[in-house]
Amino acid sequence: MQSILNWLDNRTGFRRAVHSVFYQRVPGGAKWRYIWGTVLLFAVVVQFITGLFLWMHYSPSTQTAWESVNYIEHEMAGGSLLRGIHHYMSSAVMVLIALHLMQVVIYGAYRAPREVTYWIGLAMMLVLFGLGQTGYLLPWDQRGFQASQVATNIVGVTPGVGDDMKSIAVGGSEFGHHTLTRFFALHAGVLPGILLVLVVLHAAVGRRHGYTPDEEAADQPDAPYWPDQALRDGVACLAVMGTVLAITMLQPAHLGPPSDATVEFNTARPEWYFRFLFQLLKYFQGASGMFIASQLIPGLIMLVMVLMPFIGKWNLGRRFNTLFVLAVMAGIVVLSAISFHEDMNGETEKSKHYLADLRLAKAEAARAVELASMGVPVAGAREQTRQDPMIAGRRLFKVYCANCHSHHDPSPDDKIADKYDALRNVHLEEPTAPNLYGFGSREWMEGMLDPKQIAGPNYFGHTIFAEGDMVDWVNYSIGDELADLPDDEKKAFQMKVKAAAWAISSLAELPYQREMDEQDSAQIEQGMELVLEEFSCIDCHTLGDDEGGAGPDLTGYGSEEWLTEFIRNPQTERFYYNEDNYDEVDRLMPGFVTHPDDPDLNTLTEEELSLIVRWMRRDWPVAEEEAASEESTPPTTEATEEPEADTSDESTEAADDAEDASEEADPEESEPEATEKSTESEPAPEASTSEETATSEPEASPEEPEASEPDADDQP
Amino acid sequence: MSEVTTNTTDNKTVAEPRRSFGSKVLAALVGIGALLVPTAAGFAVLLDPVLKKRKQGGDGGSDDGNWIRVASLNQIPPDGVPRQFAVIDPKPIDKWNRYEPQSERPVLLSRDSEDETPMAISVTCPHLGCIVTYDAKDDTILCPCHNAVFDAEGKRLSPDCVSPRDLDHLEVRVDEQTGDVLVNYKRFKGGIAAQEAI
Ligand code: FES
Repeated sequence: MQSILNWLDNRTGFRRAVHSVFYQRVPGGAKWRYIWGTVLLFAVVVQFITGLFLWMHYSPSTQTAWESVNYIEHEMAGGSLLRGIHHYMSSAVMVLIALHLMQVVIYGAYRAPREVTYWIGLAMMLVLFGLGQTGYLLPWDQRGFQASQVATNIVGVTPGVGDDMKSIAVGGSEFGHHTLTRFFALHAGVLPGILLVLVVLHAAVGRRHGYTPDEEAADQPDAPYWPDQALRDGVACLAVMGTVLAITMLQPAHLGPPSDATVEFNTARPEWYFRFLFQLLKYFQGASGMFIASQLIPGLIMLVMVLMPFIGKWNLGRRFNTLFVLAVMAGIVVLSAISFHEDMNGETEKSKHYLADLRLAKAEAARAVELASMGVPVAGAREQTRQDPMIAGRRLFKVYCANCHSHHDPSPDDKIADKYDALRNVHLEEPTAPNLYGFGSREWMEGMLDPKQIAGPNYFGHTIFAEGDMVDWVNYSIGDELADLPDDEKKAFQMKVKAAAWAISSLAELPYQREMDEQDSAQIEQGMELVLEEFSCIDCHTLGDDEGGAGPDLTGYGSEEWLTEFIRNPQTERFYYNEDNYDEVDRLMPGFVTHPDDPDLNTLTEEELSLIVRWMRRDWPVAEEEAASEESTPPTTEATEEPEADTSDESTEAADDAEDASEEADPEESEPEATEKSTESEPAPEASTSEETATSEPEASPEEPEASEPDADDQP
Repeated sequence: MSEVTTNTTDNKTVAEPRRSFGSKVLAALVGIGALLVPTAAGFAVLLDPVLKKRKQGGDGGSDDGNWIRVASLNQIPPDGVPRQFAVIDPKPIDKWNRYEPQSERPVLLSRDSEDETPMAISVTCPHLGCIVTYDAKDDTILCPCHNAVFDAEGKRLSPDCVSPRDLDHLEVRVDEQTGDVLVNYKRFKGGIAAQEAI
């Protein structure tokens, strides 16, 4: 062994090289303040290692970049860890640059004879900035994509050559395949190559002069680097590594939804270490302002830094240098803090919007990951999201429907049901039409038949129907009726109304209510009797074979077919067009697909129409594992109360009685009779109701039978 | 903080700390430990194909097999001659991508009589994976790559055949009602005597 090493040393002289590293002189002995250069080097080495492995699995094209990164992140063994380390270590690099630089300036390490080492260091800093910037784009998610457009636009404002420089960086006028291949080549080839050369030069030139001696420790004896300084360096590296690892475990690296330039995305922000620049841009107006903020100011700062060795020749100059760097750092910290505060304070309108958009971006990202887990089509994840009812349906609703309709959970509590909550809501501040959240669902129908709600903002409040026949009917036949009833019969009547609501709701055949509807088929059947007989909805509405009057067709109300045809054109006899509103047609909802023969004239394409309908009906594909886990199931019509308890003999009897009663001509007369009998069983649903309300969880899923199961044990 | 034995400000000679063995071991361990983390994460991802077994090229590989319809019974004459039939993978996948149905390697189907379940032979040569073809002239199956020769049922014809085993047979099922011929499509490891599904 020894002889082989001797042979090798003879040819290469490696012993001297190793010796020169391990036994270089550390002035004044090992010190913690000497660690920063090594730790920074370590962080960069980690980036080389992790970057190399990421490179093996990354695929730079617009249809595969996000997809391959997502695959690394969510499918591959150790992928999330690898990517997390690379992601967070880049932040660590920036922090370490700042610390190392401040140290160099404060200790005057840039002065003779170390000027060249210092300049090489500055060059390395710029290269590392470039690596951070180019790496940000590579995942090709919305955030990196949109933020990189800002960055390249900054390049574009360079006087004279800006446009050309931008085209060169982007590989054309628009972001596309070549933007990725160019950024990737820069990120994984050109910049690391330059960095490597600079690191070697920095080390070689630096070694020539050695550590900058600690002025206070000048009287202490020197020591070799190995092992004491090496140990300190090692411990510091390990600490950095441990911190990065811990953050990675707690908060896996961000991956936003796949980029889509056609979609509004208000949460595009640069990585935190460029936040100050982002904020600075806000204070300078116009094209010249942009140039001043993004190029002139940073350029001047760089110039001063480059000149520091000369400025520092005088004592006053050195003090200036120190103050300058500290001021710049303070400026960066303050600007960054302002920027984060503006976004995150949660009080200003802007911040509220930002946070809402952030939630939406998160939900879209989670959904895109779920979609990808089902296999990405060759056209890529962006295309996949554009065809997904959950993501694209919402976007389309926002553009075409949310000029008038809101679509938000009207329940007062602000709870977030699950990670997709933001994707189910479009909140319009000042709607002029009903809130369509859960359209056709039990809750929605119950509200429709509620005198307190039907003329309210979530239903017909903003429309011409606020004074229409339906509102009149609900006020009279339900509201007044209820008010006239003795207290002990109110509950029974409310239950009937609820049963009718459920019956109509079942016509929608909503995917998220399917199991509940099957389970409650008995109540729904009873409810349908009420709809047809006692409440005589078919006096106005058509329902199946029962031809009605002017009211909208209830056949398959809320179903895919009904909703599609309705949006296609609600101004038809089947829906809202009748003699009552001939002269108010312009206040009716317009049709969106009214030209069957000339699709170009339609506002929506058939595909878009279908996406909106499926979104409103929450009819979207669910990945298998997702379906199994409860947390992702859409929230149900919560706190399901039973309109009728069907498992006990008494209540069946009561229901029969109600039916009998409804057959009689005058509902007002028959009502007390029916309710008299049903009151015998009435405590039952009430008891179970209150208990269910108490126990029903906010996230109760429609698949959960308990939510709607009558509690037979509680029957008297 | 080790104590220093010699104290010199001479640039050439440097103090050698005493009791530095512990520091040396510790320094080495700490340094290696710090670099081990990213390296380990990298190798985990590199070894993903070994660490996480997942089926590539189709996800029909459930417990009861990867049954694919390849022909109708009446397309296979009862003459014992192996004929090629295309196999369509209904759900091909490659890493994150899922593709439209596309063809897999074909199979050879033959049957000797009307009331016999057809025999399915994989066209992948067990030697190194070339595609074999039926040669009607000699009633043999040939591999063009290294000249392995099999009989019409896939048995090696000579003892010194380069192929380590006979051609692989695939399970066949006939749907009595529709007359569809289904094959439990699999790939096998090449170059070894035992038949081992991939
Ligand atoms: S591959 Fe068939 S003989 Fe070698």
